[in-house]
Amino acid sequence: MPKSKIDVNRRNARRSTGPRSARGKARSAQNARRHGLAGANPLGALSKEVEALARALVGDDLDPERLVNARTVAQMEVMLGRICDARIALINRQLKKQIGRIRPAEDRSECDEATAAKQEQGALHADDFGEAEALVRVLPELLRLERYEARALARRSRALLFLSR
Amino acid sequence: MTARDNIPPAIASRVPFEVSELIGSLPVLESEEQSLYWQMFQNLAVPLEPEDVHEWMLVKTIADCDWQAIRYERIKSRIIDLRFKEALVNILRSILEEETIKHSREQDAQELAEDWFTDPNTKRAILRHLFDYGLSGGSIVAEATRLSMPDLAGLERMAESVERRRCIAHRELEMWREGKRLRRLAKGDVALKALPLIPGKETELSPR
Repeated sequence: MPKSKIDVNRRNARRSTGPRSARGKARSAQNARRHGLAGANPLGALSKEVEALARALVGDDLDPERLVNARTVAQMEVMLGRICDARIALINRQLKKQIGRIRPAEDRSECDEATAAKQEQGALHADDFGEAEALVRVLPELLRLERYEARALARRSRALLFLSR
Repeated sequence: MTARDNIPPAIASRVPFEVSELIGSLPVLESEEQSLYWQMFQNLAVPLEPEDVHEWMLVKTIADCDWQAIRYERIKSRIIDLRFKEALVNILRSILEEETIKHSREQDAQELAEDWFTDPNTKRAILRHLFDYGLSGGSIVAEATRLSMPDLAGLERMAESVERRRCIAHRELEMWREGKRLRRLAKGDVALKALPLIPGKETELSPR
C-alpha cells in the first residue's frame, strides 16, 4: 500500500469516533463476543425459560431451597444446550468453508478430468472426509468449550444431589 | 416453526413441553442425518422409560453423548486417512534414490504421491520400491497415524469427556429415581415391602 494512502487512512481513522446511534453502540459492544458462555449473566434473556423448567422440576413442592436448586439445574441445562449449539455451529461453519474450498461431489461435471479422477479415487476429500477435516481444524476451540461444559455439569450435579434428597 | 416441531410425532406426544424446548439444541451436524439421531433417542427412551421433566433431560443428555461418541469414533479413522498423502510424501522423500530424481526430492515425492491416487502403475511401482526398503502399505498408515497423533489425542480427550458425561447422566438418573422413590415413600404413596419374618406372611412397613 502506498505511503500516501496509509496517511490518508490514518487521518480518516482519527476523525472516526465510533458508533453514534444507540443501535450501533449496542452492536459494537458485542464485537468481542465469541460464544457468550463466559459472561457474568450468560443466560440473561433466557430467564423465563429457566424459570419454567425449574417450576416443572419441583412440581407442587414450594420449598424455597428446592426451588433455588431446581433453578440451578434448569440454568445449567439451558447452558449445556447453548454449549451444544456453540459446538455444532463451530463445526458447521468450518464444514461450509471446506465445501467452498474443495469441490463437492455433485460439481464434478465442471472439474477437469484429472481433478474428477482424483475425487473419484478419494485423493480430494470432498464429502467423506470434510467432516473429519473440519473437526480437526476447530479442535482447539472445541476443547476450550469443554471447560464450560465441565463447570455446568458439576454445578448441575451438585444441585441435583440436593433435589434428589 | 418451534423446537417441538422437529421432534418426530412418536416421541413428541410423550416429551414434556419444557424438555421439548431444550431439545431444540440438537448435537446433529449439517452432514449428519437428523432422523438417525431421533431413532437413537427413541431406542434409548423406550427401555429407560423417563417419567418426568428431569428424567427426560437426562435421557437427552445420554442420547447426545452417545451421538457424539459415535461421531468421534467415526472421525478417528478418517483423521488417519486425511494424513495418508502427507505420510506417503514423507516416506517417499526419504527413500527416493538420487539418480532417479527428476526435479527435486521434495517435488518428486509430491508428484509421486499425487499419482498414487490416479495412476495404478505408479502405485504398483511405489509399492515395489517400498518393498525394497522393507516397507509396505502398512508403513504409510503407520506414518499417517504418527502424523495425526496430536489430533487423535485431542479427539480422544473429547471422547473421554463425552463418556464421563454419559456415565454421570446414568448415575444421576439412578440417583434421581431413588430420591423420588424415597420421597414418595415418605409421603406414604409407596409401601415398603420388608422381607417376611415368617415365610408366607409378608409384613408391610409404614413409612417413617
